[in-house]
Amino acid sequence: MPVFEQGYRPYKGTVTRRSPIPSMIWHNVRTRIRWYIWLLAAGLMAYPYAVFGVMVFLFTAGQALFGMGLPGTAGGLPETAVAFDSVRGMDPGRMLAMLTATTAEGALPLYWNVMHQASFAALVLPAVACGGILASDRTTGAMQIYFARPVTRFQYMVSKVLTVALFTALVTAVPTLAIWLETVAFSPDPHFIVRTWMAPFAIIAASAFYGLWSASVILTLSTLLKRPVLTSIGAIFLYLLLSMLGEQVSHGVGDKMWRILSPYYAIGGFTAPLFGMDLPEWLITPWLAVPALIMPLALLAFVWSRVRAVEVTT
Amino acid sequence: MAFDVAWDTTFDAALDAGRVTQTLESELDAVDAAPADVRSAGAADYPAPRMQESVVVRNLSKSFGDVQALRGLTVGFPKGAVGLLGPNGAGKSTLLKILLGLLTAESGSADVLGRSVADEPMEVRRLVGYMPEVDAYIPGLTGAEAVKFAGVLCGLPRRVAQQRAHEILYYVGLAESRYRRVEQYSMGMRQRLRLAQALVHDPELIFLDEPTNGLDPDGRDEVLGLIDDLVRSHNKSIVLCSHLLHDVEAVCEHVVVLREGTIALEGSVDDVRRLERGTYHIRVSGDEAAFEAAVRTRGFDVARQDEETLRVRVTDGTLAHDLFAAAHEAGCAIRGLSTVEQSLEGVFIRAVSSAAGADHVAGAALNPAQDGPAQGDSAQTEEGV
Repeated sequence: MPVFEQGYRPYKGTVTRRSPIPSMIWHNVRTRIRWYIWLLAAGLMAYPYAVFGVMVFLFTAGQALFGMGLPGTAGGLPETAVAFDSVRGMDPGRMLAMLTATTAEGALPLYWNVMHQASFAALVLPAVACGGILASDRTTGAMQIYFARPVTRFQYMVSKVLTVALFTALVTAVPTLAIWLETVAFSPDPHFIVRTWMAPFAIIAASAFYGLWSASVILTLSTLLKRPVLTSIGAIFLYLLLSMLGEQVSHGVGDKMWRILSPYYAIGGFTAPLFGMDLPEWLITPWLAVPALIMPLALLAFVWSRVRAVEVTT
Repeated sequence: MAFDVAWDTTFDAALDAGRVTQTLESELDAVDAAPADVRSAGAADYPAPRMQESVVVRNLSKSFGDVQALRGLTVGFPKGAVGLLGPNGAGKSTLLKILLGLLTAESGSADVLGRSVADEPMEVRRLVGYMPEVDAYIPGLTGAEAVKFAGVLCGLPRRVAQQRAHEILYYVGLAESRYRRVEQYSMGMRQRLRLAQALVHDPELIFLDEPTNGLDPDGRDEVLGLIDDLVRSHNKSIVLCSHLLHDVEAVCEHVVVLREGTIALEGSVDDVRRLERGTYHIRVSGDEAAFEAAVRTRGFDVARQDEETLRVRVTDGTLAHDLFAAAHEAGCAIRGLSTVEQSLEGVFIRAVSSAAGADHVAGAALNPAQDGPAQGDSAQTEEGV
């Protein structure tokens, strides 16, 4: 007789004390990957890769295989690149040199630029995939599955934040790491990997920062709105609104510092230094921490309190 | 046990005439002789903890704003099947949440399976199984995955959890549907799924909140059969929270009735049923008012059932045989006497309804008037926390 036909059997084995977080993340991710998420992720991952990756491939492959030189690099690259303004101000030769990452100095800014091009996508994908990450737990009663079992609120929150961060990483860390691997593979400099050893860490750290920001917005909206689609739309709308607000206020006041209201500049201002880049003068302000760090943490604290309220009514 | 006897004379005369069965006589003797061992609302303290208790609660209090959900509740749930009853707002949900460590009591303590809920909430959750009343599922998972996930959360190794998920789904009757997504399940199937999730890690104690909600009669019998099997054959303890007294009667050996955050009634199901044992419907011919007064004077609880029938309950210090003496004294003849069927329902209704002024019958002994403001619906209040 098959074992499952023997009726109820007592369990005599061991019980582990391992954290349930990995299992919770796996279920969060697995149940959210639908066909349209695959499509969206593929498109968003391909975007920076299409813009930068293909160019890098062509130039580095051309240089490695055919010894093609790069135009306009005789003047050399600046010792440090400045975020936001630097690329636009460089001559095409320098820009190409940076794009092709033939030197470590040019490579790190390249990685940051690749990643930061996806700052909007870093919100769009998790917003679409995780719009109901908390809302559906409430509407389907899934919170009872967690909180009636040995799962703490901290573990629950961490699993949700990391789930959003993983979707964020799909469009930030994954394509950027792919480009790093490509530049390592094709660089004519044999010591390139040694000189850019910090790049993967910087990429992951920056991606975590994008993930934190995205998670704070998405989880907050997901605790307030019952319908996942409203959370998705709300998160995207909020990003665009803040971006527009930052630009308009900075123009209106005549002070570029107000651009920090825009997530694009706020997050970029925190992530660019990880890649050894300087910030433009107007972005060097302690107020940068408000939209970039304090606001996400405050939103997560709000989510924490909301989860607590739901937990006790479980 | 119900019987009807038409009377045209007093009890003694009827006995003489041989028209009263020995059953009735034995019944009356038994009622006179054996008061039920039931703790009612009047009892001040819970007796010393009994052996083999799965849950022990001492002086537990919890309030939400102005509403006091639990008022110094002290109770013990013996191992085996315990029914937890009470109207909305009685404190059942609050008690369960405190036992699961989801709420913190303002005073008092609670031990589950010998572990302090306040000190070891995670360990308590690991040891107990909880089947919630409302839907609880993760969309996108199959039944097997959902049960496996519940097992993993409780600490089962993944492979073991997977194996047990299949076993338990087979046990609860979902073997054929275990690869279907849970959002495609019917209400009854989800009910069974929740039961499977509560059982997968083989808990010693299982909290079942309305486990037969939404089930058809056959499904209800099957689920009650499973619960009964868990208790009788697998030595599990359960706390069955239900409004369906039939379910409690079918499965439980012990019952705890809450009202306004305190114990309204507690005892074994048999003992609680016996509270109904001394209750009779009586029809008399003659001066009915005089009979009622005579019965009341002798200390019986009396209420009018309908125009012709009185409902009389034997209380402490009274004897069923005195009814006939009272009839004799009032110059009446008892024309009809029937025992009220012994069921939990009658006791439950009287135990919880005195606050609404609905109890005029024999429940006074069960429901001494309690002071304190009228309770709101604590469940609603908790929602607002």
